[in-house]
Amino acid sequence: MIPSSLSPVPQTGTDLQGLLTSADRACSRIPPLWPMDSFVAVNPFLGLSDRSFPEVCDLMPRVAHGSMLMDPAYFQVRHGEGSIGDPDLREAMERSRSSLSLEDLHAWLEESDAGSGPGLETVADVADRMGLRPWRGLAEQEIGKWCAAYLDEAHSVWPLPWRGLPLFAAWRQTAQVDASPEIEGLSGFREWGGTLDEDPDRVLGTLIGRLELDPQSREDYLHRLLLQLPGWSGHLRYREWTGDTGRMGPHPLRSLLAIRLAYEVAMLREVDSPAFREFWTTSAPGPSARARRSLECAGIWQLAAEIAFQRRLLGSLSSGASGSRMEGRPDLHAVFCIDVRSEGIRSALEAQSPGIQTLGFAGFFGMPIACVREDDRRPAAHVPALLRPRFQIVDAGPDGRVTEGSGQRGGPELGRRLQEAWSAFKAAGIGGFGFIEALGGTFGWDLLRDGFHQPRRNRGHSRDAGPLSLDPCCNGSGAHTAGVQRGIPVGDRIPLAATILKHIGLAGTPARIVLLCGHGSTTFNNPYAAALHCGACGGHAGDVNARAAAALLNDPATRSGLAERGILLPADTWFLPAVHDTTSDELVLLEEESVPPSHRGDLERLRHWIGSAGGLARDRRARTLGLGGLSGQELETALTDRGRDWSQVRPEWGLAGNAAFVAARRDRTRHLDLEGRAFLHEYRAESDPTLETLELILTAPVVVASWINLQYYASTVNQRLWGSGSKITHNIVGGFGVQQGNDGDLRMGLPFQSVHDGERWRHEPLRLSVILETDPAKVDVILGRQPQVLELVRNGWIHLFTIAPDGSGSHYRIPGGGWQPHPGVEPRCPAPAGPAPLRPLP
Amino acid sequence: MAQWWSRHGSVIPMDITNNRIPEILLHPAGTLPALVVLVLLVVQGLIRNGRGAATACVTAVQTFLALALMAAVAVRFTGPFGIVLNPGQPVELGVYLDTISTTTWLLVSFLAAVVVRFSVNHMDGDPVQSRVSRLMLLVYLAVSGLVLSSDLLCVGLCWLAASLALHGLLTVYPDRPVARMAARKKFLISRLGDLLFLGAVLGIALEFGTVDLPVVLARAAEMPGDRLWIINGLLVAAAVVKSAQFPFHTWLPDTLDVPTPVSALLHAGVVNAGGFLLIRLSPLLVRTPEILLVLAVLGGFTAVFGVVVQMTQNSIKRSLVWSTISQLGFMLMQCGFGVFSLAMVHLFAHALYKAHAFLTSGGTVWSRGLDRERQGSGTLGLVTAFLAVGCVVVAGCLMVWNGFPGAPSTAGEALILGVFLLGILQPLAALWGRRRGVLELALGGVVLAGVLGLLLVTHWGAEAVFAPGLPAATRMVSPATGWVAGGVGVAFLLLLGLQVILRGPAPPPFLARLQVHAQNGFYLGTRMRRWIGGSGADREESRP
Repeated sequence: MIPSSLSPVPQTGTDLQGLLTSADRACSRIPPLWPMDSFVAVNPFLGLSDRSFPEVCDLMPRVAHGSMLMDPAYFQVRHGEGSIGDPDLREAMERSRSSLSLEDLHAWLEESDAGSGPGLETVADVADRMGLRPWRGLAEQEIGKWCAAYLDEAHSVWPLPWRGLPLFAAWRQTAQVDASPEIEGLSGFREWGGTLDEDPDRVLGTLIGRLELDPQSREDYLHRLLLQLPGWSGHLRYREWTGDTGRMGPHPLRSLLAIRLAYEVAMLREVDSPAFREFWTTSAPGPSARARRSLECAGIWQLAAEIAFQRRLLGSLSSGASGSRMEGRPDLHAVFCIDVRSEGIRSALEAQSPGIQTLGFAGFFGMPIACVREDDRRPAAHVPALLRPRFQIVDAGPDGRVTEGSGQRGGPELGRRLQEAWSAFKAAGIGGFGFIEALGGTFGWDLLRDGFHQPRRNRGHSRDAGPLSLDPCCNGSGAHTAGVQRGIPVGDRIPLAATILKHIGLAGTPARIVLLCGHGSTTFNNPYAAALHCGACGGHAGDVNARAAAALLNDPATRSGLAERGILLPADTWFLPAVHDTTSDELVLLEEESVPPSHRGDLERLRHWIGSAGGLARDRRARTLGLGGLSGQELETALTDRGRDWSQVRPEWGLAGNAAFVAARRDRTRHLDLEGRAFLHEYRAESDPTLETLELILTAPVVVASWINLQYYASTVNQRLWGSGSKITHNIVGGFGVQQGNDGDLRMGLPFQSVHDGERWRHEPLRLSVILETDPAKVDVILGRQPQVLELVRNGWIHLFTIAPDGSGSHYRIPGGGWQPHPGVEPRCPAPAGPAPLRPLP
Repeated sequence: MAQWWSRHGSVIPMDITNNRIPEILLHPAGTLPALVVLVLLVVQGLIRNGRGAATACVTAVQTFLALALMAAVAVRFTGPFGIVLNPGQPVELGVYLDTISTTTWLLVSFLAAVVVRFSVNHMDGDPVQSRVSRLMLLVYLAVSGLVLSSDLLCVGLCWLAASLALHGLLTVYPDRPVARMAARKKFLISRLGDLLFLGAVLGIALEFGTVDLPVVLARAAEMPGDRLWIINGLLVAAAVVKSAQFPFHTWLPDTLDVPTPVSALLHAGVVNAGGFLLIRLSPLLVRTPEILLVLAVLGGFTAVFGVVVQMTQNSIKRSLVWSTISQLGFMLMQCGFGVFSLAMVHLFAHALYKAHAFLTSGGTVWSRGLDRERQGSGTLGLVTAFLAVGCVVVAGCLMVWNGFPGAPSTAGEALILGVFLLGILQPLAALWGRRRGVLELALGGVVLAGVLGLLLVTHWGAEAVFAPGLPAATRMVSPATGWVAGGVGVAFLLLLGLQVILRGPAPPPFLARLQVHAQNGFYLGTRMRRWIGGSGADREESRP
């Protein structure tokens, strides 16, 4: 059965090491994919950011068989409406040192998409194309099916029996039983599976050897194989990333590659012949000249679109700070997340009184916490994906009841037992017949309620929560993760508070009330709910972090500790947590009852402000949701209903449109309507002589914003590769992933409905433009210290600008190094016909 | 009038000209304007585009829902009646309204209204929105025709029309080859079912000299049973083939590429049609108990088979699909044992449950760490104990069926009650868990009593609403019933045994292999696809 040429040949040690290195490098190109309950944005090109953007544009057609640039039709529309002009194209050609002419670029718009030339083909692809065997998609289907069975945590009542084994060993067991591959024409697959070595690394080496891959393209070929299962590969990469590999063995992704290779070799066994090898090895001759030129044109149009945006943004920014610079102590300081959705509510709040100052800060408020809520068995990390939680906080129920008993006998345990019994009755099994007969009819009521009326639903964030306790003793029970402290020990509080206050950017005397406002979304029946929550809080609503930060900063012991360090907060400054519901633009104050009596008057005034601010923000946002005709109470009801609607696929636009990151004083942007396209971080160069804050901004918020930005970018330019497709046919797998209909693989990225409104793209795919209000020289200091950030800039994954704090002009960082003055807005005649994204506030 | 009609003392007036409904409803002057309005509403749904089509379909379906409600209420007061547009013609366009048809129409209209309302926002901006809305409206109209029509040929044609419109829905995304392949499988299977049903209608026409439903139902009792063998055989075969019963189920698990609201409509509505028609034509079927017993065996097998596969599935929609297969099997098994009123309840309850389950399938993301404790406490002793209790329950149910009032009156009914009781043992085992104590015991008792109470209420409700219009199970007892019920009971006991063993610490190795085969649906889908010429090009290349 096994041709002799394919019987195992021992690999020499160095060969094996080389092959494993190739495999690991291919694996490292795969971005991690977070599970749905904590779905945070990840840069889909994370493993490739050591290459330049154009290089990756070149690589993708080869390994992923798809483009990562928009097609001519898209740019034709953008050009036609005037949002990309010829000056932008000229500058783009100059920046990319292109030899093309403006005419070439215009001519390209008329071309049909030239495609990108043939990519690398796997054995199945070639066999299918030669008409030998109908195997296209077979390996993906089979491996996807198996991964779902192995990784399923909660769905199946009768799980895969070998789930306890390491990944490859478990697959080997299953492969000896599952007859599907043989039915599909891989004869003797079960028997052959049994002959494979038990060590995935040795199997990997042997199988790569079998394929006799050209060492030059070996890494790309392995990358291609993984990219046929990008979802499961990404999920395993996530497990490696978070160290949550458990029973799977040390390198689960490498094991997955070995499994994919097993199919590759098994298929080759069936069809191997000199003719086949000939066909196979010549399958990817590289892109044609026309495809190369098409790629170059698309790249220049993309850059031109970004230049057009930057021109307008920097023009408005450098038109100077508004005159409304306030003297003395403000009436209110309100700190919001840098999330682009905060911009609308911030300017609406500022419109209530000139005495209100808002600031932008990462929405986890510097609190590296993991949160345990009542029913959780495992704490949820409420930190950006780049960080690990350090402290564990237990969130009390609405009545302040700490779930002391969980895990022990008593009330909660009994409730859990009952719930288990209930789900056992409901779940697949013999109980299902009686369940449906006895209780199926009650779902008629549910259908009536959900279908004909939007009922009240739980929000993603709490509304009436009791105060959080930071003491270890109150956070001691229940689930726990190793390496995370329970509560925040007294010794850690003062440094933590000092760090937050240092970077948060409160200038002058803090107001009597400092609002710490996280954000969360309210949606129902939406697998992508976490994508609409706060990314800085690990895909959760930001309420817990805001409450924890407020508890820390209001703590009298912390205050006196801070005073000893010379950090003086006025005794009458009270930190008040709040949460911004991004679906309904409602601001909800939390823990109001803890506010001292002396601040009751301020609280009253604040309630009034946030009420009208919400209304104003809704009015400004209504148009984008097709609710332009509504206002006031009607609009509020419409938006609230939207969040409760079980059939709604676009509860809100999330971060669609994001294109810029501005680290500057709010005075720079306060007078502008940035249309929710900018991440706004408060930054004052004069209070950052040591550049610590600048370094922090560049290494954490900018990187996270760039991840979000590139996630939206990729989901827009190629839904098929980096988006998750239409929500209408989504299918939830194992409780943690999303598949498309019958597909075997998990989908990554954002759904089609999150970036497209049915008529046009809601998200304009632009790489992030980062604007820092400081001197170029200071930025260079940080770039010199932080190779990871430098890589993003040098390889063109973000654009970097500075604007001088005194308003004397702006500079553009040339990717290769050095700075050049940026002209800002050029007087253009006639004015662009298209919608100018930036305009002063009315 | 035959005896079985009068089990509950009421004789159904079958003479449709002698009814107590207002004259105006039967007069063209009353019906025509109403018909014109309805047709206009439907046309509006069919010609508008995008979101407009969806909202127009909502208006149309909601109008029909109001009508259905009125019809159901009217029938409660007037008793069954019929309206025929063109009396005397070879094919009569008319409706026959009785409790069974009007309540089913009410259910179908309600589900269709929920589903089309759902799709207005859910499919907003989707290029196929208007196409899906139109086809869903057509499916709804065809199913309504199937439910209401008083002419069996019309019923058959409506069934065909519903199936064809559904085919359009299954292939709504042309770029999804798996969906196309599933539709092709279904197309072949459905045409077989249509042929079988039309054959049955032809047989009825030959035997009865008419295909008028009320007339056929009324005369069924007078017809000698041996002349109904072929007709009933064809009817049962048509239902088995079209209601996704083993081995004709293989297309259903492949239909995940359709929009969620279409899945809801398919699983809650269209696939139930076979079961509905068996209930509708039950006066014919009870004349040949042996054929019904074959149905009971097929249904019972599909029920157990479907559950075993469902237990191994990892995604919400796949799990729901296999649940549909098994629940339909259970419903047909109830028909097979002649418990038509319970089958009717099951059809209703399952349709409502499944529609809701599909429409809310987007909310089934689990918080990691909430995973169930898989390792139960099961020891060999516990397993044995549960199995012993199970055997006693089933045997007891089978033996006492004539003992108490309200107790099952046939072996089939006893079996169904037994299955429900076995079902409660499973959650009890979960409740029992690691520590067995007084608390758990008490709770178990409360749960048991609660569920039993609910079942009894359902049972009595079904009897009260549907039984007067349906033949009683006692009419069709055949000497083989006890044996068949016993055999099917053993299958359900094995299922319980499997579940109890799986909760135990070390399941035997052969179960490991069985799990893999079960997860693949025992390869029937793959084999069928290869058999009808599916190739890899038809399998969607999930990645380019």
